[in-house]
Amino acid sequence: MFESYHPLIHVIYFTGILLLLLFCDHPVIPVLWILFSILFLSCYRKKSEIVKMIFGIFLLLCAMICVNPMISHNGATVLFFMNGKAVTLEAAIYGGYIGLLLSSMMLWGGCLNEIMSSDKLIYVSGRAMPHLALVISMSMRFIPLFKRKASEIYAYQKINMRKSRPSYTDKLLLGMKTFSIVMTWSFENALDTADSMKSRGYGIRKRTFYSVYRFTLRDAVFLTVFLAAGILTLLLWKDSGMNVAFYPVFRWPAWNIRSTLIICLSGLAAGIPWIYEVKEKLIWNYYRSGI
Amino acid sequence: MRFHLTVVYGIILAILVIAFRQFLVMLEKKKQDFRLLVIISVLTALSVTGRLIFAVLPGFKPVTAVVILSGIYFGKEAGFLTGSLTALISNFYFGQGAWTPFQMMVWGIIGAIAGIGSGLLRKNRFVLYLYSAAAGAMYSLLMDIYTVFWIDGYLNGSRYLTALLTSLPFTVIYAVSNVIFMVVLRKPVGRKLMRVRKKFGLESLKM
Amino acid sequence: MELLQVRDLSFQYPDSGRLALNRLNFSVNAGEFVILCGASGCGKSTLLKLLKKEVAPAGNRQGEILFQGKPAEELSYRESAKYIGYVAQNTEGALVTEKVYSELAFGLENFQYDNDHIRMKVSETAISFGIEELFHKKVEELSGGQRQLVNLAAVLVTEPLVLLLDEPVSKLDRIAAEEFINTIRKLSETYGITIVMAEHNLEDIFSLADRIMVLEDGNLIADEKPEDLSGILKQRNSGTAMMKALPSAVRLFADRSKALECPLNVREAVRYLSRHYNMELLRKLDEDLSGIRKNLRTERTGNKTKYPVGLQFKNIWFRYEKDGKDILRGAGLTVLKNTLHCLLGGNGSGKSTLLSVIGGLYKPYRGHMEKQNVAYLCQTPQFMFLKETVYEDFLDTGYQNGRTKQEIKDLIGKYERRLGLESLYHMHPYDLSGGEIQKAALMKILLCRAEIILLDEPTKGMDAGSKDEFGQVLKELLSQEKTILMVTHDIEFAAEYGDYCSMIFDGEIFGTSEPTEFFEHNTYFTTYTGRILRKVAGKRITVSQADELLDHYEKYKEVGI
Repeated sequence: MFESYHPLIHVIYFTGILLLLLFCDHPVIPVLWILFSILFLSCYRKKSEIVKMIFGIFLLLCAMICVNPMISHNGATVLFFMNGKAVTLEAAIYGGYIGLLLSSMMLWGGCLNEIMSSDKLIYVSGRAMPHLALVISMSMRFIPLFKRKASEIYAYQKINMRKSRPSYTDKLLLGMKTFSIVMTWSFENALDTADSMKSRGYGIRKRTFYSVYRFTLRDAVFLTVFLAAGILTLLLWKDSGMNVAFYPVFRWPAWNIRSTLIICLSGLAAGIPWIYEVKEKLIWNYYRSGI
Repeated sequence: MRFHLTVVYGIILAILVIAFRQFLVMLEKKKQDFRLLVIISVLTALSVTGRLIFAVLPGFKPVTAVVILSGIYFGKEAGFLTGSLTALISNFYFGQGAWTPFQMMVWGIIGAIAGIGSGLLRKNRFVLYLYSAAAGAMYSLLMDIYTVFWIDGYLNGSRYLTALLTSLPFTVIYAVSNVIFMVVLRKPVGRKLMRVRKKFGLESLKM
Repeated sequence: MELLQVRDLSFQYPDSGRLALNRLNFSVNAGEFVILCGASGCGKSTLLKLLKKEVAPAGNRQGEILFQGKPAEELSYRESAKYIGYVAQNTEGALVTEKVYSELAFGLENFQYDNDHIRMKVSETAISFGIEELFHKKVEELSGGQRQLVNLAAVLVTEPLVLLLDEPVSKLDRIAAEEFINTIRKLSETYGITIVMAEHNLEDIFSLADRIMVLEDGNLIADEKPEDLSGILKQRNSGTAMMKALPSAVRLFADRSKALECPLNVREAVRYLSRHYNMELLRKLDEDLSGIRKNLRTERTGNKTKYPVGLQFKNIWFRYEKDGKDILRGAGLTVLKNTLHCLLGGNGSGKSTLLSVIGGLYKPYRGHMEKQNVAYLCQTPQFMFLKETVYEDFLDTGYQNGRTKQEIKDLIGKYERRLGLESLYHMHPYDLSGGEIQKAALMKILLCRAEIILLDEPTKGMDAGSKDEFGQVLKELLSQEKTILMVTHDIEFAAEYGDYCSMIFDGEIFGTSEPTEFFEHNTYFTTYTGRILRKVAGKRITVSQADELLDHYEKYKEVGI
């Protein structure tokens, strides 16, 4: 599974995808990414959620196609006039493109959430800044603790409340009161945390950073393929004239060997995790048939 | 090509990395570093918990109030770190995305400014309320820049205006809720944080 | 050479008028297991913290602490952090990181070990303390007992020469506490680690220790082997409060054993009883005595059953989520007015949930439950305080319950001496000790206008003396027409002060009866005295009840001769 890769791979992968989306102004690239990420997410999430997501993307596309021409009046092909302003085909197309881009960003976030746990973030930041990693780790430890305390406090306050049907303001005040008590408690508790850190030798000298992750051969292979595909895409893209122009007239970029190559390579880069996921599944099915 | 956006991201990431480095190194030099680190973790966790406790009420979050107060009572470094880490960590619950660095930046700045103007903000509560409202508005203003950048690849004036108008109701809710939280929390939380400064032996910390 | 030596150690907190520790002298040898006991507030924690300089409180310290013959101040931070392990009482605060594995690695990272070394050490520790299963878990997902184990392991990874434990089991439930003590026993017996442990409940650990030190108001009043301790305490009049903290076996047989060796735990007590007593005679005498008592009790019970019903519910079903598991499955209970009803049960039996349902926090999906007008004392008394001083908080509670200032003052005045509140009014609630805040919380409950009082494990972490006082206050409350329902793990307290006991298990409530009958047929789930006497006189579950029988036996023997 992709998530079991080394965290550095995840960081490089997601940064790379972001760069691809930023640099390559071509509708095929977000479309490819949307396709791959939906396939990828369908390995992790329930079917109903995926269907909902696809529907959401569709709605977003429609909305952008309709809304953009209302705001932007550039473009040569006038469809009709509304309130004396031109509604153009180009603006609608651009809206659609923006819709694609925004959906791909949403999915980017979705995949990131699936893959990047706080643990990995702590690892990545820990390599560079161990202090930062510690602060993040401590906060992540405190949050569920405070949440639990907050619900205990809320319960206590509510049970001891004399009103049986609290109003909206009562509830809001109860929330604030709870928050206030959590705050007092949390700092008192943190005094013990500071003691515990110090008594275990924190601050004697620079810390090392322990991690359970190991950079293995498959990480190296993945990284090589991804970087090769990604860098080639960006190099080929440079001065290729493949940028889409929307205004004044929408022009589909040239379709030639170079552009095909770019699209294949970017598809490879974006699709690697999914390709890997499917490969693993096939292998697993093969082995399972032997059990 | 969204070249401008890449540049913007580059700048934001650079600022974040430099700020984290600088502030953490500064804390280390101050010797009370680890106590302050614990405090920053607690404050971050508190504002995230606050965001979670009040999750049912849209726009009504104590986050900005906590960030501002931490800047006021523990200095601009702590303010910045609390703000930006709150953004980073709360997005583990609310969804990471390309907006995360933007949010980190915005909340970080809100906290840092509170730290810089701490004297005034502590003395005059109306300035504090004003700043809380402004911080809410600032959050909206800057996050809209993010949206517009993504759509056009550059800062398109007319679209920015539209974005501002569409997000106006939220801006108002942010501003108002920030002020409400500040009015309610200012005194008790202020007293608490003073007590924390004493208990953690941080009285010498400038504020 | 002694591993740890303390000479003429005195300590005074900055704004306190009295010495927290007064000229202590003692030493600890390598491999020893020493227990430091005494009522809460006697200076146990202060002493332990002073031994570990990183957590030493600020204040005026005099005298010397020598570690391997070297003054503790001269130890480098590295040596001190590495050689002296300190396990704090508050596991929620002591654990620093998000995951168990990073927690275990924390100490080693601080000593700049590399990844491979840390991996080896961490896995070694995890295997030896049986926490491999927890390795990748989040700290927050652990139970209290597991958390304390991880806390201990995280200190042990750096291989300290001496381990200081500050009341490690006081916040744990009974089963988790027993497990933790087994681990401590293993550390001491199998690994030969030097241990100094502060603890006020001696039942399970008494016979494991090499030495027991007793602190009273900052003075070291005894430093003895367990078998000699009770004799020494007897000689001092001040030791009577401490006597209550000793194991039931010791309390029963210390005076009676005379020249013989006093039994220190249940096993030895059972053996002692069968060896030195005529069991048949004991049984017969118990029946005689019980016969007389039975008549007495029927009188009392007759009275009790006449009490009106204070709280009643039937057939309550509750679950947290629609598709979740039932937490309460047809629970029903009748609690009479003027009685203390104890609800006993293990973890996850639905005890705390039941209190929340009674308090109206949740609605049962089946069965009817009115929101009762209750006063609820939660497990963490700190949560009940919001104001800057204790007194402000009292006023606040009073006002909320529609009392006037004068009324509040009168009420507080009535109880302040008994609860020892006089000196606490102007303190911040969080600056109170565990025992003090519990009492202040009880005062808040007294200020409520509620007929029903719900208590959630109120005696957790209390020392023997505080439990007695607490029990007395509850008795006083009962005399004011209140109904008290208490969920607890504390069998000893329920046996001593409960009017009725019920079992809650798997979401159901059953077995409601008076404590003596409730515990009579239990072999495992009963008091220590009950375990000692179960073959002879099952109805005798408290030390005083057992004493009565043994006194009678001795008298009978004398007369008989």
